[in-house]
Amino acid sequence: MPTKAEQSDLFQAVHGRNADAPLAVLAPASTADCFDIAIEAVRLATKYMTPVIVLSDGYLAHAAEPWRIPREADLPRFPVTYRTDPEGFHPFLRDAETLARPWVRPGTPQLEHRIGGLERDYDSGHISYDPDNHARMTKARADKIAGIANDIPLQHVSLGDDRGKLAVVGWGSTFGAIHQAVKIARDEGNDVAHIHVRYLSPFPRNLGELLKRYDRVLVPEMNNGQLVKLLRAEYLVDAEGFSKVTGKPFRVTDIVQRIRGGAPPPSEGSGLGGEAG
Amino acid sequence: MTVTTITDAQLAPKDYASDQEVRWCPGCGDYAILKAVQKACADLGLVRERTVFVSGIGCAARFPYYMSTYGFHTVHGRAPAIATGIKLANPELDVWVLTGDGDGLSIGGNHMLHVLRRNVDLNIILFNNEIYGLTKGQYSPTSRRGTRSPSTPLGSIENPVSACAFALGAGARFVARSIDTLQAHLIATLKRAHTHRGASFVEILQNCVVFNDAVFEHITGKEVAPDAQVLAEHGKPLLFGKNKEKGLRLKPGTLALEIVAATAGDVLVHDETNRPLAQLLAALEPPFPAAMGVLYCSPAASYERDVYAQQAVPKGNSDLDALLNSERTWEVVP
Repeated sequence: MPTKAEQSDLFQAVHGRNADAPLAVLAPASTADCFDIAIEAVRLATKYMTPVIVLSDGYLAHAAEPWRIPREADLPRFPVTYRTDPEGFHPFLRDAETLARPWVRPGTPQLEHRIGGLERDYDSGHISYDPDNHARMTKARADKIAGIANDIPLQHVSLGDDRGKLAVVGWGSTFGAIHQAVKIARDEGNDVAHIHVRYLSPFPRNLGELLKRYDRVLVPEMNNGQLVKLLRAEYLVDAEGFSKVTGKPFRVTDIVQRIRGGAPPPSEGSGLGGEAG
Repeated sequence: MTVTTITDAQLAPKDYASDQEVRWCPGCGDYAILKAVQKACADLGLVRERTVFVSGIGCAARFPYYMSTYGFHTVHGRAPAIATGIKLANPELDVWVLTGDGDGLSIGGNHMLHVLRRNVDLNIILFNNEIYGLTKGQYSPTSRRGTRSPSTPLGSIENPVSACAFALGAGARFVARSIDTLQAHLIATLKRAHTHRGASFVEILQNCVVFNDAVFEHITGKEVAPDAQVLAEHGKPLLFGKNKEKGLRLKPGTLALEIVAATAGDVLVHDETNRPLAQLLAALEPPFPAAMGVLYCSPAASYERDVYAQQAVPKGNSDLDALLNSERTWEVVP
């Protein structure tokens, strides 16, 4: 719902691009994190020459929290090196590590080239309908995004142990509610941990192995079950969805009750969405 | 911002062609337009690395691949947005937008409106063939009422948009029309468009030989052309007919045109700086002749010029640290 808190565009961000072409998707976990994650998005976008989506939501936009104001001089910079050397130039030469293409500014002599949305030759960038080239290019586009996993932090556990009975896995603005709920449940003696995913495409490279160390994985989301499906598809883990699509954020008690016994929490009037996954 | 004019007088039209095989249907009007653009580039001495062709989607949109300049084949209808970005990033680049009646007036009608009213210094060439050729012949926003196509088997019941009237309505400061087969006129029109600072809009009537063949025959046919076209030339009377025996004048007491004998004393003299006249000419439909040439040219400050002028003025709040620490901020001291 416009202007309300919801996380229902995750699929669109991760899968919404034409022609089997993935891109990077990040989600800030808090209001302060919005600042840092925007910088991280620019780092990835310039290093890998790819669009990066930052998925915020209405809850974060309306929230406030103390935030240490950084000094401009301390902010990282991501200078881009522009190619000017015509020797051996092709617009689709790829950096061995990032698979990014060279940056070439129009106006640079002898590097004139054409670039567009039709399938192009792996090296020259000329339009190519060659079957093998298309398969190779499709794979190259996927590998480029997948490779970002090697350049982002490993998934850490926000609260609790890195193995156990239950992991509550969230993303985006649900951080606070999940964190408090897990804290309460742990104080009550439950073996439960909180994992919050900031990198949604690609996932951190240890995420699958981490999730498999828990007996159960619970994924609260303000949608009909999107991250839970991505996790199940990617890692074959038997993750359970916990949906709330009322336009209102999770209450801590919603999640605490779910952790305690799995019984559906009482309705708060506007009703809770059904389970997914 | 200073814009230097560097030209390369050594290049021939073929030097502006890329090494790629041109793939339009045999007989397509696009070949003639490509040839005219390459000739105009050579005549203007354009420097290849400083020239950028930007297109959206459609048959016309393959154009950049056939030029030896920089080229971007971009998003359907969104070439104006990308071209605006290119021009803003480097105003010294010579940026051309290639589009069609579907790409430019339907899918990208919104973008076309805004790039024209912003007056970004771009050369915008709209290939109008009154049909969606690339998708095999569906009716387009310029298709006339009654057009039978795979998507209008009973004939279109929609009223077409006039590309030039649209451009004028959007606030374009340069609006011209030509025809794919009128090579000399087309080349001259493209060169005029190029010299105009600000957005220049050129509609080219282009024959789609496969899906809409001869749709402009009532204008371009050898027999009918003298009576069906009036050439608008600044400072010259609006005459037409085999022997220039007919003219256009304002119908007395109205704001409409009428056809009179050339000998009538009050035949209109074309004034390309006169917007109302341009609007009358752009909208002419049979039995009136179609107006060709520069219908309107009245330069004004271009968008990128104003952007850079605004940026050049020192501003008080350019210190990011000061800005972040202003207003309601506080420090937590442990």
